[in-house]
Amino acid sequence: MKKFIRMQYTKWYQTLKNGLSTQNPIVISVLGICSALAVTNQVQNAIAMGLGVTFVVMASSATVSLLRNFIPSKVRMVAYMVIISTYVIVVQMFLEGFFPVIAKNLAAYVGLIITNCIVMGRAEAYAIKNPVKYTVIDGFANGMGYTLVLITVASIREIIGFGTFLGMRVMPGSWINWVVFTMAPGGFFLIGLLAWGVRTLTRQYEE
Amino acid sequence: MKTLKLLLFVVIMGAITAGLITGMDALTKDRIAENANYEWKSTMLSHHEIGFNITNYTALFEENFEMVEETENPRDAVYRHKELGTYTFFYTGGGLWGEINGILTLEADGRTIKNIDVLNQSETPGLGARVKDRDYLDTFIGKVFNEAGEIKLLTPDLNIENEDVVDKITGATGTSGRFNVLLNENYKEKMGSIVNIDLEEVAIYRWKSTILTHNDIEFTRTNYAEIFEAEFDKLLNTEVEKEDVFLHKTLKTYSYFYSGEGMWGEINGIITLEEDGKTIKMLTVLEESEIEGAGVKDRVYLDKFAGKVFDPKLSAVAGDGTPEHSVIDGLTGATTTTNNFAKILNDSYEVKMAGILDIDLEKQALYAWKSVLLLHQGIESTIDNFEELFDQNFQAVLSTENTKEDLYKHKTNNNYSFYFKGTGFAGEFEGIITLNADGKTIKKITILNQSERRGSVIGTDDYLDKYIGKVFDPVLVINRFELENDTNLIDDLTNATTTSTQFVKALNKTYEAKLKDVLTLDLEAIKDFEWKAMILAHHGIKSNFSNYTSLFESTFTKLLNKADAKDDLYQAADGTYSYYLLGQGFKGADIIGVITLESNGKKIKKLSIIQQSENRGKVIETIDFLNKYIGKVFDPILTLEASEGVLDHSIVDGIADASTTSKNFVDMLNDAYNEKMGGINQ
Repeated sequence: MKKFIRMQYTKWYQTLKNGLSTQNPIVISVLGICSALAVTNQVQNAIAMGLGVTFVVMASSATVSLLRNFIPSKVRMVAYMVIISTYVIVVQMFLEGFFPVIAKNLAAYVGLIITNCIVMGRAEAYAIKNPVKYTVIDGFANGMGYTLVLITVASIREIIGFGTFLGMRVMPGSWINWVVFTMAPGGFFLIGLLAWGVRTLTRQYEE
Repeated sequence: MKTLKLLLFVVIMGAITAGLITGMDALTKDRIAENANYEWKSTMLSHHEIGFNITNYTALFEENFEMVEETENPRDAVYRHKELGTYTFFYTGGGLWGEINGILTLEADGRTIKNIDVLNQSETPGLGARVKDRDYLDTFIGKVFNEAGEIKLLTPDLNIENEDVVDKITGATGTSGRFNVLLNENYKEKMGSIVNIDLEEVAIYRWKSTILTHNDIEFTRTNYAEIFEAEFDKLLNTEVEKEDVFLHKTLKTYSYFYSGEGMWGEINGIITLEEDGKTIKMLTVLEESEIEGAGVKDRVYLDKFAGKVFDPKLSAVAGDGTPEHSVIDGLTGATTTTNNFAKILNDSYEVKMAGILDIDLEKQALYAWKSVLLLHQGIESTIDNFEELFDQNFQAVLSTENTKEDLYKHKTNNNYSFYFKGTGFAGEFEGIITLNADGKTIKKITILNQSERRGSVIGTDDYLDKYIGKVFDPVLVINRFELENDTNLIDDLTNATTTSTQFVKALNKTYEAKLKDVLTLDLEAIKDFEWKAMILAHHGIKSNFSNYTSLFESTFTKLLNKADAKDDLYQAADGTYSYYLLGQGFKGADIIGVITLESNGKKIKKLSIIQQSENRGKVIETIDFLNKYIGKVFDPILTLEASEGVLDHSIVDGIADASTTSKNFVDMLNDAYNEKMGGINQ
C-alpha cells in the first residue's frame, strides 16, 4: 500500500494517469475529434485505429525526444510531420505485410493517423522537452486514453446503431436500429456526453 | 556553426526516416506482393472449405486448383477444383461509388452458384455496403445463371422463387443493380466459353424477343429467329441488324432498338410505334444503370407511354407548348433520368424514323389531295393505287414544278380541279375545288385543312354544298348587301365574316391564277368589275360581269371627266358620291377600296375594301372595322387622334399594333377625299 502511495508521486505514474484520464486527449483536451467521430461506428475499427494511433504516437514521440537537442526550433513542426509520416507509412507497410486482412479493413484510416492532432500535440507539448523513457510512457498513455474513449463510444454506437458488438448480434431481433448513431451526429452526442461525465468525475472545468 | 548544426540535423533526419522506410520496405515487400494474392486465393480456398494459414495457402492453392485457361494476371483466370470440378474466379466491376470485387464459385455445372464473397467495396456504409454482408450474399447461393448467362434482380414482375432471380438490398437499389450487372458481365466473360453461351445469340434473342412480344406474337426460344424473319420487313437495311427499323408485315407497326446516355450510364431498349409511325404502341427498357431513376424500366411506368405521340417530340415538361399527347410522366425524384430518357427516345426516333416517315409522309401528302380530286370524280382510291388512278384520269394543264400547284383537267369530262389555300382568321386553310367543263361553275369543294374558330363551318359539307353550282362570273362575291341570290353570290357567315371573306378571296385569287390562260380571262376587266360592282352594291344595285358596265353608266354621273375611270368621282341620282380608293399599306402593298359619301359630300355612307395584304393590319377589310367608319365625317379630314378643334365625328379608330397600316389607311381616305371632293366642296 505504501508502495502504491509512493508510486502515485512518481513521474511515470502521473504521466500515465494524465494521458488516460485527467488529460485525456479526446474528452479533456478535445484533440483528434475527427477520427473519433469517423471510425467509432464499429468497435473493430475503433480498436485497430486506437492501436495504430498508440504505436505512432509512441514511436514519433520517442524519435522527437531522441532528436530534441538537434531539432532547430524554427523547423520543429516540419520535423514532427516528417517523423510522423514516416511512422504512419511504416505502420501501413507492417499491416499490409503481416496482417493483410486488418490492413484492408482499416484502409484509409491508417493514412488519416498523420492528421491526428494528438500525435502532433504530444510531440510539441511533451516529447520535445522530456527524456525518451517518459515520452514513451506519455505516448502510450495518450494513445490508450484515445483508444479507450474510441472503444467506449464505438461499443455504444455499434450496439444501438447496428444491434451488434464486434460484428456479433447482441440485440434481440425485434430491435430497431437507431440509424442516427451510425452517422456523425450520433458520435457527437456520445462524445459530448462522455466529455461531460469524465470532466465531472475528474473535476476538470474550463475557466 | 549554426549552419553546420542545421545540416547535421537534416542528415540525421534523412537517415532515420529513410532507414526506417527502406528497412520496413525490405522486410515487407515480398510479403505485401504475396499478400496481394492472399485475399483472393484464401477466399477461393475457404469457398471449398479448405483450411489454410498465411504460410501454407499458396501451396494449398496450387495443390487444389488448376487454371482453366492461362491469363496474364493469375488473378483473372478461372480456376477449376481438381477433384470437385467446381469453377471459381475473381470478379470485379463498378459499384455505385467505386469498385466492387470478390470471388464467385460455381458448381461443376458452371451455372449454379456455390458461394460468393465480396472482397472490396466502397458503397454507402449501412446501405449499399451491406452487399458484403453474409446475410445478403447467402441469398445468392443455389441461384443459377440462366441460358442467357444472367441472374436477374427481383422486380415486381419476377418471382424470387425462380432460380435465376436474386433479391436486392433494401434501400440500396443502386448498389444492388450495379452488383447484378457486374456479376452478369463477369460471368459471361469468364464462363461464356466454358459453358458454351453464345453471347451474340443471347443478345439477339433479347431484343428480337422483345420486338415479338411488343407485337403480340407468340414464339419460343428455338423458333423466335424464324418467326421474326417471317413477320418483319427491314426498312433501312443497315449493316448491323439491330440498328434497323422493323415493320410488321400486316400490323404495319414500326419497332426499333434505341439507346443513349442516362444519368449514370446507357439506357437502351425497344420501342414499337403504331401504323402512323408516331404513336407509341409499347416501350421496353432492356438495360439501364440509373439510381433514383431505376424505376424507368418498370412495366407500370413504361405502360404509361402507350398512346403517347411523337408530335414531333416527346417532352417531360408540360405547359411548354407541347401537345398533351406528347407529354410523358416524370419519375418521382428522378428528373434528370426522365429528361434524359425523353431525349434518348426523341433522338433515336429522329435517327430511325425521319427517313422512313419522309418517304411515307411525302406519299401521304400526295394522297391527301390527289385522292380528293379522284373523289370529286366519284373515284375512291387507296394509298397504294391512287397514283395510278390519278394519272389515268387527269392531265396537268400548267406543268408547274410543284404538282400540287397545277391545274388538272379530267381526261374525259374536261372538269378542272385545283388546289387552293389562304389565310383565314386563325390560321391557314387549304382545299380542292373542281369546276365543270365550262371552267366557271363549281362542281365540288373540299377543305383539306383549316383551323378557324367561329368560321370553322367552312369545313362542313353543309356550307360547302352551297358553293355547288355557283359560278366564277368572273369572281365569287360575298352577299354582304342583302341582294338577291345570284350565280356568283355567296352567303356570308354570320359572326365569321373574316373567315368567309378570306375564303372567297382565296378561291377568287387561285381561280384567276390557274384559269387566266385556259379561259383567257381579262384580269383588267375583272378588276374593273370588282370595284364598279362594289360601288353599285353600295347603292343597292345588283350586277354581274355582263351588265355591270351599262348599269354603272346609267346609274352614275361622272363629275370630273378624268381619262382613267378610277380617278373620277361618281354621283348617283340621290346625290351621294362614290369613288375608287388606292393607297399604300405597310411595306408598300396596295390597298384598294371604294367609298360612298352621303349627299352632303362629307359623311361616309359606305366603305369597302377590295384588296389588301396587310399583316397585323389585315383587319382593315373586316366588316366590324369598316362599320366603325360609317357615319364619320370629313370635317375637314379624318384623324386618328383627338386634338383641339377636332370634332368627335372626325375621329376614327386605328388598329392596335398596326400603327403604320392605321395611318396609311386614314391618309388614303383623306388624300382621296381631297383629290376627288376638293373641287366639289369649294
